Amino acid sequence: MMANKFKVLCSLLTGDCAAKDVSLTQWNLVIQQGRSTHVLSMLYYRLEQREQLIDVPKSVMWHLEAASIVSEKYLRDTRSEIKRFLPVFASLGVKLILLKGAAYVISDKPCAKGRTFSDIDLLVPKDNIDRLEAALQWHGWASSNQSAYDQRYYRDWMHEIPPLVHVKRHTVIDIHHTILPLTASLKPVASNLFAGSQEVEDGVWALSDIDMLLHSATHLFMDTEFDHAFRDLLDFDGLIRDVLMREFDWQALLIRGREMDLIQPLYYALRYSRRMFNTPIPLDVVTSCELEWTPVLTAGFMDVLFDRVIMPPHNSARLVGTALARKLLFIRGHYLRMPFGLLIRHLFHKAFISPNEKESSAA
Amino acid sequence: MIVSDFSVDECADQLACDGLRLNVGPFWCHIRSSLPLVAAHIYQLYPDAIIDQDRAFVDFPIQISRKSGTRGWVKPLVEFTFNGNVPFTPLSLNQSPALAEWGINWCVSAHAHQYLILHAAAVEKNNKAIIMPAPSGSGKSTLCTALVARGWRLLSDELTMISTKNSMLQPLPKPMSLKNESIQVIQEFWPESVFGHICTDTLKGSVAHVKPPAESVQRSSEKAEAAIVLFPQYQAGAALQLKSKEKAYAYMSLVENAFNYHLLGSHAFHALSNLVQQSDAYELAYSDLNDAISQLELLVS
Repeated sequence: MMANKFKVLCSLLTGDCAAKDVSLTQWNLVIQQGRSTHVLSMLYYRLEQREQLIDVPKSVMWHLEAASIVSEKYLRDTRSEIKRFLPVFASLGVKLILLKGAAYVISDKPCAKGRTFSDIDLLVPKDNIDRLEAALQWHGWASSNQSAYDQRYYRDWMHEIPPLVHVKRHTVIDIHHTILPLTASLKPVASNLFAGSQEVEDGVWALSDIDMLLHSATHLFMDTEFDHAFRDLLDFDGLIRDVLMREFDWQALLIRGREMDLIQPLYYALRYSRRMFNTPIPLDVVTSCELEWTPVLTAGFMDVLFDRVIMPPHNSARLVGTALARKLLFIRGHYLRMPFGLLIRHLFHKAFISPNEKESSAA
Repeated sequence: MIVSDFSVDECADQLACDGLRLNVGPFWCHIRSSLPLVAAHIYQLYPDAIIDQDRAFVDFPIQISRKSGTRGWVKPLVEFTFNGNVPFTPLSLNQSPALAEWGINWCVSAHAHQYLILHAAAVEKNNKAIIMPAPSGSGKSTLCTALVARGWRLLSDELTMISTKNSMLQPLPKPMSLKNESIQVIQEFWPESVFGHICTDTLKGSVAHVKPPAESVQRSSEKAEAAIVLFPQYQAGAALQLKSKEKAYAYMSLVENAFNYHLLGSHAFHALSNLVQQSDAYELAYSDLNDAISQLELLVS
């Protein structure tokens, strides 16, 4: 039932449906939904790969072409930023490891062609962060202006430092030292991630294929906000399809998930990727994942929530209770990221102290 | 079928129920609104626009509606929704026609990257198009409307769309937008002009829109070739003065007024280079519209 309203878009993206079989009425929905989920440019390149652009009606085509032009700009900008990072990282002897969108695109994952992203995410060993931040400052990247509380929030409790913004180009980089907040109940060991990383281009590294999958699942299903959930799940689907083009050991994924304490997000990613995109994941893999972990509040209940947030906030897909589902998952996300006492303290600060801080600093 | 085939009530009903699928330049907008001001605006200022209620594919799904919430009891606000998102802060009810126009302009400039899009007016006569890039307050819209009043074809008063393939100008003949004093100037200069509702107290002051001639709307699929890049400068009491400008100056000024030059990268560079190569560039200081028009008629004769 879940993918019904997005069925045409999903199956065009995965290749289960050909462009020539889509009616104009369906294209109308595909373009609107694709725009609100930020996947139009990915759709362009996937159709190009399958030589189906020729079957796209003329009136529809410009939407895809224009989206691909925007994604080319993202790619150019990312490449030029990386070129500027490289000497800084080299001078410190720190490995430049990309995460998320930038990693998928720069490592030329076929599924990521046309993928856009607003920030460049990097992974750096915690011990190197201070030196790196200081060096990047000399090149114009400065910590975005935040209150003392926010600085502490990031530096003591989170898995990343406050975003660095370039003073002239306004590009944003997020430097992570691990993939979940330090305060989260799940405790993946960051040093494992560095050990498995692979060089994807001269001096540019990404996580191993399996860690990339686990991270993709983690930042989608352990988060508090789901604005890009559809596209993030499409990433997971694409990464799975990509590893399946070669020989892939499903057991290795489960073992690594266990080792990294990430079975929970992996469970969700496998479940919803199959539901939404018909990802070719063997049923026994899902079952063995379920044996290790199932949602406390039952899978059926979580389906009700996640169905509502994975589908984009587009009118055509609005289900009753979407706003409530968002709120509940927002609370869940925070609960997973922080122990209860700290969470209460954090929410109290955000609700009653931060607004006043902003007023006084503005005055 | 065109908008004026409807009665004003039918037009309002369509907008309020299923929405109106309306042709604007190369685009199709699907506009929904139950606001009488919006219906009146479309009926008055888009009478010659083609509508096709059976059309399955539209480019821009748009809604202009009252913002819900208790604040609406004190001061009713309207918001513009595109594809389920609200890209601007809501405006007061009285400004809903301006919100509709700005909203459609935003739809084009934020998405139609198959064109290089300039913040500029463009008009055509004798197969020669004049592009007028200019900051607000330079009299660009006033001069553009005055030229249209004298029979020039309106290509666009706000967004000049340049094909990245051949540098031809794609018309977008929407209503022309006038601000503050220029509203009265044009009412006097062109007494037969059709004005929409005057929206007061907007960020830009008072704003009113003028209906484009039917011929400009009917010829909106006919592309035009740029011949002149003109920098108009209205100066009260000044004598007419036409000064030739260098191509490099014209190029850089066009870049400054482009919405998506950097986004398009080399596509934009080549399209704009061709356009500037084939065009002459001038600065025109004027105080009298008739003098300015005679001068421009000479340039394209």
